[in-house]
Amino acid sequence: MTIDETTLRAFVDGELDTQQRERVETALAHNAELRAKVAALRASCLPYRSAYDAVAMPTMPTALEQRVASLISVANTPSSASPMNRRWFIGSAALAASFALGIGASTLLRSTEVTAVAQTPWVDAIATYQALYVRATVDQAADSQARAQQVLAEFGASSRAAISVPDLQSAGLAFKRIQRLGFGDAPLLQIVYLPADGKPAALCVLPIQKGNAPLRMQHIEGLAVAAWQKDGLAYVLTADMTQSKAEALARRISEGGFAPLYPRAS
Amino acid sequence: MSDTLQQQLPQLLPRLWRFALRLTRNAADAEDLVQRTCVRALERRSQWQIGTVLLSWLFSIMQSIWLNELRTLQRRREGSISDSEFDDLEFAASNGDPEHHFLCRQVFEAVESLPEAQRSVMLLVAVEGFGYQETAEILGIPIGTVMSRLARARLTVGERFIGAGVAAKKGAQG
Repeated sequence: MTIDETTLRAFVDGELDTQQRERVETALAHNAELRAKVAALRASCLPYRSAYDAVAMPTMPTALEQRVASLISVANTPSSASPMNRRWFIGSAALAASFALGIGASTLLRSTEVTAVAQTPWVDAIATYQALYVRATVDQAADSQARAQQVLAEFGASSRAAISVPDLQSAGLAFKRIQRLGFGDAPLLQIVYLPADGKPAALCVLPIQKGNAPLRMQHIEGLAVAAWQKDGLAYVLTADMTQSKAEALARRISEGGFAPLYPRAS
Repeated sequence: MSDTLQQQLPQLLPRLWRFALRLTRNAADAEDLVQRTCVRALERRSQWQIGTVLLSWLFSIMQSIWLNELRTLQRRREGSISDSEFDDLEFAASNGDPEHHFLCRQVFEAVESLPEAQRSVMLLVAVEGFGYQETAEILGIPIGTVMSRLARARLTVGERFIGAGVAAKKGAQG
């Protein structure tokens, strides 16, 4: 009769019924090796939880809490139906001190009204969010044409803007997924691409008040970040590539140099 | 449902932080792990099923990111930097019964020296207090595997205590 370690552990912890227990006791009586194992298992009944509770741990950094709050705000899909007039604060301390945006759906529907700010806090929020993407985040994703067009249509309805998904295959970026996120209460369109290696790239689009702003390059959280504004839309491209390569890619996207992946949803 | 995840996540952060520290033993990696876990959870919030415990679901995401992504990076770094830089978990100074403190230290060191697969099961079952089935779900392994890893881990720890002769000193059962 063989008694495995799992059964012996359950025996020691009193998890066996009477019949199983008697079977183990019989086996123990004739087997010194089993008795040694039972002795070891008995010796392993220890105060594990209080041992770990006695370990001094670094306190959770405040910056982590703020960053998670920022992540939650970006991932907050806005409801286009509900009246929205909440104030939204970016989760990063430095930015929170500088910016407080009030974005209302009603104003967005009037061709958008984002409070004019010296900088663009959504660029930092988006870059922070995208920097946490790894290949595993999206490599299983494969949005169908129907799904992509549905998302585009929804975004178009809430932003009053016609967007298409640029086909970046010729630049080595395979389209993976499109989803509607939110920046505060404003809709935010996120199009994710996967390069042959390295982190995923993302093109994010957000309706804004002001018309145009030239292409601006930044380096945030290890990503090349290109931002520009055109015809009432702010674009942010984040990519795990050199600044010059990302800038060339962004410029070509901004100039409409890539054919749309799918026919534009009307 | 998605609202619920976004509302509950900030409240669960301290538990995520603690578990991340226990997994990585390093504050910088724990911070990275918590952030990655939150992003992955937010991205996949439609997969979180009503009725399942949110914390278990978050732990399963964290565990998977740790094993599949971060642990390799940490190991690669450890090759070039001394181990001590990756050990932010320190035993607090004893402020009570010195024998109990000594025992706690022995227990901690015994679990920490287990192979990673067994250490994970011990952390979830014996330290975090999850049930066998929940642990299986968090780790994405069959419950039978949880049971055998738990038995192996307990045998190893117990043999170490018998060998070191510290078993006699043990206080509370745990």
